[in-house]
Amino acid sequence: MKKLLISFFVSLCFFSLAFSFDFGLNIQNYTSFLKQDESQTFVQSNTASLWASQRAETYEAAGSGSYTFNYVKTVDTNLIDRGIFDLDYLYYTRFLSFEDQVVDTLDVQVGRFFTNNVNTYVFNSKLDGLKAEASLNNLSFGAQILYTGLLLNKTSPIKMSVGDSENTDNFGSKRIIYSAYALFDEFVSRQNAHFEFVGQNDLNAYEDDSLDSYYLSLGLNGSIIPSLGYNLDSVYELVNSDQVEQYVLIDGKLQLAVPSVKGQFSAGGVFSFALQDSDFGFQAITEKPLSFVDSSIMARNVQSLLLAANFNFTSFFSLSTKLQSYIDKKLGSGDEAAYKGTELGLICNLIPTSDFSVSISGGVLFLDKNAVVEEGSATAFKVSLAASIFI
Amino acid sequence: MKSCVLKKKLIVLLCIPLMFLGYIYTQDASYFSDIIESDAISWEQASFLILAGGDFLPEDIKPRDAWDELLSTYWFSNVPERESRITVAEFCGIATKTLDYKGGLFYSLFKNNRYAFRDLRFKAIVPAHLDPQAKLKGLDALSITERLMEEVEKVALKNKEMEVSE
Repeated sequence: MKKLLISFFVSLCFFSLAFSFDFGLNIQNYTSFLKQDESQTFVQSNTASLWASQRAETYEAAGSGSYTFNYVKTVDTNLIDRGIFDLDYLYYTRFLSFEDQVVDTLDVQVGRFFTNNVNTYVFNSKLDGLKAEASLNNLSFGAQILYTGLLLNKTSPIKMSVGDSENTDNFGSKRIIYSAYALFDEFVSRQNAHFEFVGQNDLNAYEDDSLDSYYLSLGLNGSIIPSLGYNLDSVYELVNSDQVEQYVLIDGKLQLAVPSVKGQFSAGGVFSFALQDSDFGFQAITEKPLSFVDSSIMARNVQSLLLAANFNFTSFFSLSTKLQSYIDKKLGSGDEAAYKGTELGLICNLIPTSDFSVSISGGVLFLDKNAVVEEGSATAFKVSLAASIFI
Repeated sequence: MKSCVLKKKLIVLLCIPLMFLGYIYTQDASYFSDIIESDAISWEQASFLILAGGDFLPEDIKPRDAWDELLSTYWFSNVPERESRITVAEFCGIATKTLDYKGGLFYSLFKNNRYAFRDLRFKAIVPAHLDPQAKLKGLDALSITERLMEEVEKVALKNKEMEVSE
């Protein structure tokens, strides 16, 4: 591992000097403490990322590799992870612009890069592949084709099937993701819309555990009056495993900007439901937890109602707070209680200079007494501190 | 009282680019238009732009004198060729030193081009699309100099206000 790191560092320095790349080192510490039921978990994760980039008018080339090691302490165990070396991103982007042609601009990106579907509910991760986006006046359209099997198993967020979770290979689940989308900016009186198709096919050789899924998204956002905006996203999912299942996810939000307090207040909800009898809801390619305290709370298993406030006091100091309630996906059908609990969360971001940033987050989850398992605590809380220094 | 201070601030901030442009236009107009139209400005052109903008030079000075003035600071360990093209990071380096910009931790410690560029990009003084090693266009150089002067002036005003309130 040491040899690998040294050779990576030497080659990065060589290429940086030889081709006049800009390069640097970012060091990040993430520390969190979670108290849930009888368990207490302390996690410390330290990451050093070495990056290099070069940008010109017509292209951008960038790469970053990182080394992360973790320390995890629970009530009865201490675990020191020896660490993992990973490639964060390595891509080349070509920016093309045209005059009097079918499109005004065309950007093509190839390699490993951070990408997502338009509303981020289907996938949002670093992935390997190709992405192209073209624009013509207020219309943008693009396509991407991505492969998940080159991500390391330890860091891959693709856990869609039982086979994915039980995979012990060095590399993560092998799936191919493809998407095509169109964005209509201000198509009518300051209203924006997007339409997207995403497909995902299982290339793993798991027996009887193949899972393909297809998604159709439609989103609208814009302003109702100058200070009041809305955002509405809907996704229809078709899952093809041992049987065909269909799900729908709807995310709606109203946002009120109040410039006098440099704030934005929002209210909304995330709802998912199955179009057949099922215990589960919408299944994304990369799952996005709704709760800060309990990462198992996702749109897949609950409905959620949200009240939030974001304040950007200065260019370097922002504060956001939220009150989010979780409701059983089947709205308490059968013996289960409908109401699961409410979470109060706070995030404070401070980026005073270009050299470092600090983010402090805290959350308390008040569970309903009917949702607590026997002898469990009705209150769970988590605090975290993320500090980064950019050298 | 607060609105009066804000008005004063606004007037000062509006005056900076006007003073800057006014000063520049009293100089050799063709030399200045050469800078503006250039796709890659030279060290001499850069030094003229920054020193003239920072009001460090008398009105009738020649571009060559601006370069000599910059050399007299002994900031360079390796003196660049006068006509060689300056990079974005190098421009940020001499601009921040000349205008006595107070930057972040690493800039304060090392005072080098790398951290000068990073600080100015963080404050949106340098446009995000510019690479530190790229050659600098005249228009970009003018825009960076104006914004940096505004930033330095803003900090100076803030410090004055704090001194008064103390």
